[in-house]
Amino acid sequence: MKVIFLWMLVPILGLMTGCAFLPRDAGIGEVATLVEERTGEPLYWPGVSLDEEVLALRVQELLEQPLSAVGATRLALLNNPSLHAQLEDLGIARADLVRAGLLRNPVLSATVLFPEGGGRTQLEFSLVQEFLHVVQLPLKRRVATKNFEQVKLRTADAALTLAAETREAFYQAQGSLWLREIHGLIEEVAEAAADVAERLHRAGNITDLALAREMERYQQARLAHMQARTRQALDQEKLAVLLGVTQSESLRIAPRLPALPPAEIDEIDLEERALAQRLDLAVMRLEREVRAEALRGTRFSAMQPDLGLGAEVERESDGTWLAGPKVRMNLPIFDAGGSAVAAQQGWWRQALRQEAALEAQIRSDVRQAWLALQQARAEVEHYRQILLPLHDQILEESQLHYNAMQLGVFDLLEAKQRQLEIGSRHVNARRDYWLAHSRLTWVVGGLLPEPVSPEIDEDLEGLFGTEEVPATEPEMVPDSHQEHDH
Amino acid sequence: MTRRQMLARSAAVFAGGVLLKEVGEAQGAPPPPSAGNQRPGADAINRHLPVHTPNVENLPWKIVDGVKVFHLIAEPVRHELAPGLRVDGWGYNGRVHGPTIEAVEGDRVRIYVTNRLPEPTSVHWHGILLPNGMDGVAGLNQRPIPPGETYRYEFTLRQHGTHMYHPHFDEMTQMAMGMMGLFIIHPRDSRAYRVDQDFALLLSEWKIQVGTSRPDPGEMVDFNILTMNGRAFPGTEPLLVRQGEKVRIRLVNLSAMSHHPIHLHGYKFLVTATDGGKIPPSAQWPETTVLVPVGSSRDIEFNADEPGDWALHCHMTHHLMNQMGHDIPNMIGMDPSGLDEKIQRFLPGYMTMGHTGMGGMGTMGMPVPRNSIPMLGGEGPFGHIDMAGMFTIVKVHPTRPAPDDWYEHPPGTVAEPAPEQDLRRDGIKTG
Ligand SMILES: [Cu+2]
Repeated sequence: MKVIFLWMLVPILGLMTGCAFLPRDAGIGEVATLVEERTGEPLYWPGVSLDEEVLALRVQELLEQPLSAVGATRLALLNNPSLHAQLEDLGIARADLVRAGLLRNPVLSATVLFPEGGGRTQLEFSLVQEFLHVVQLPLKRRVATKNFEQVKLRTADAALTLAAETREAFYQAQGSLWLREIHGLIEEVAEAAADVAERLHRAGNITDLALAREMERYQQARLAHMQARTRQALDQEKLAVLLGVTQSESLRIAPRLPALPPAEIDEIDLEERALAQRLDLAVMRLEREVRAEALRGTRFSAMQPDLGLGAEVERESDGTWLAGPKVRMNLPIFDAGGSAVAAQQGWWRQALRQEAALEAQIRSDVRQAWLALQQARAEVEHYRQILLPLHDQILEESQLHYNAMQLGVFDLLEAKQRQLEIGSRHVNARRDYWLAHSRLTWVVGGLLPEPVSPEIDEDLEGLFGTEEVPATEPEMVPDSHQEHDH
Repeated sequence: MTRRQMLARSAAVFAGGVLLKEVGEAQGAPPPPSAGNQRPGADAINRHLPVHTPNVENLPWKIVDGVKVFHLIAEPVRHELAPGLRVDGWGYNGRVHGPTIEAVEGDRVRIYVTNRLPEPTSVHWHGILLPNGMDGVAGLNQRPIPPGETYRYEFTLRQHGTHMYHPHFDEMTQMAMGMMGLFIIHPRDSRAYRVDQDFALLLSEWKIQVGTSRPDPGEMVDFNILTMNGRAFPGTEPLLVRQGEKVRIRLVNLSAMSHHPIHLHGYKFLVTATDGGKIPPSAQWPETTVLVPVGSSRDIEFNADEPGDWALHCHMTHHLMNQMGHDIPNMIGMDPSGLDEKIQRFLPGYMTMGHTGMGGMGTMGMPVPRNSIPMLGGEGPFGHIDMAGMFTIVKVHPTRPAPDDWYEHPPGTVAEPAPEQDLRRDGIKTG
């Protein structure tokens, strides 16, 4: 009996020791590498891969200077609490993986029988290990490993999505900051016109009607400025949540959307790049593989009886000990396992189709995002190269015609206002460019094949009269790693 | 000089005139002041005093078998209306306006008209008595002269007087573009109606949008350049007179829409003729301002006995402006305090103008649209002359002045700041 007992423990222990020890930070290194490859920014698991205090210091540093898009992405990855919550999935999945490597515990049963009328009790002991489970263990571990891979990919994808949302929110906020400034100037111009009208009205030179018209223009401009202010506050609020910043008003944002990168992004290979890079697609592929494994496992178990092997020891009432092996199995009379196989087949095929659907969607998304980016670039260039210079010229000529008393002060102020309005439309176009750029980065699943332009172009500053442009930090370049910790 | 020599000289001048046109544009620069007494035609046959048309040449001619032959070429011309303003107009023989035709009562004149314009034209000899077929009204008296063709007009001058020529085909366009000229006929007896200086001024008006170079023939009321002989002050050449001379000024108006009351300072004059002819001495009337209606001429005469630099101008104040804008708010009397600083924050070149009046605008030197003279006045001996347009100066000096000479006033004859003691003496309170 002892021999059998020991014989049975060997494979169990063997299987158990085959399960490698997994450290607590399992997987974060790979996730961080994936994220850094695709965003240029590091990812840390607070308290696990980076000390919480060090992290807090870095957050503080980033918040001390006006934020660029890159800085905002860095900050979100460091500081977004939802992302931190998601990182805990890694720990949970790790525990699941460890559990999947363990054998199902053997079943010990004991029975004591009391003979009628007294006498020695009869004892029965049995120890049964589920055989099927033992056989399926490597398969289960393969599935669990893939599941863990999936969790890592999902976590990394969540970080990328956060980066994309942050960039988007950042460009929105940066654009609305600029627009607020322009609308402030428009209000200033309209106010000057209203002021002139009031002075002329006091001097007896213009009618009540003309004064009312000028006032109406000014009040419209005030309203537009008010809307721009609220819009800016809301955009800043949205950004603050993504950055994990609780005091949204303390956020400082670099006041100008960056200039466009000098070169267009090449469309060639973008789709292939996306298919290779997209982590949600990688998750989907793993899902298909998991389904295939599960199907194999179900087929296997359908062929195998659900066998339990063990030993039984019995003490008869007369005191004699009996010992012998025990077999326990269920008979596939009603359920031969065929329906389970069919279901698993369905799931597998479903995963296959979903993967194909996602691939098609990704290809189309890439093409759409690229088109949107091209259109946005064309619009920005149209403003920058054609419309803005034209309005500069119109304003300059208006000033000359004003000097020549061919245009009045209202015409001159209106020319200035129109120039500012074109300036605001240009800001919209530039914001749309960066939104499209961010969108393309996201659908391609990683950095785009281009350097990000660091310049803030000067040619727009004329829009702001004599006002100084606030100093800005140099844009951080995502593919330069020297500032990062690895 | 023999008759043969004289003909040769006239022919050379004729050729020279054509050459001048070939060279291109008329500069509109004032001819040398002495030219008035020495232009072709001032010769032994006609001893009349030549008419002087400031800023304008006289048309050369030659005699062929006793007929005075002229050649007018209608063509596009680039012309300076005043320093800083050039226009792409139409004129004759490279000039805007056309050269003055000068002839003598009894002359038979043959005038060839070549059309180098992009559209047909014709020439009407305004006020001149002639056969109906020579009157130049296209469609009524003749076929229009097509581009590239040359028509011949020929008639005998049966009168003397101050006349003009201008197109009578699409005259609204062609006159707005500058096509007009003077036709002066001297009396056969050169001793009659004798004066010492005989000037002619052709008045016209233009619409030239600020910053453009093309006269706008579509304009009906809002003319912004008013000229004498195709020049606006300060581009007008002064009338130079020696004190004591008897002066005639022939005023001719071919403006599109405006009659001009022309006012001479310093004198009273007599209106001695219209384009209908001489007014009998008993019917001449004294004036200081003579209204010259559109399509009319008025001769005025006076004895230049009072020396000085005397203004001669249209008395309509808006005709004393160059390219003035009318569609701007009336700023006069507005309180400007703090406004410039406010607006200069976003328009650094801004300055409030017109709230104290518009005097001195021409002296500010502010940048204005290219090819425009919206503010221009001229420089005088006492500073800026705040007038422009239909304005010129009659310079009557003890000796014949040069164009740039200013009258030197005897001491005590110029208005000056009133001395304190005078104010006190005369009981004038200024506070
Ligand atoms: Cu006038």
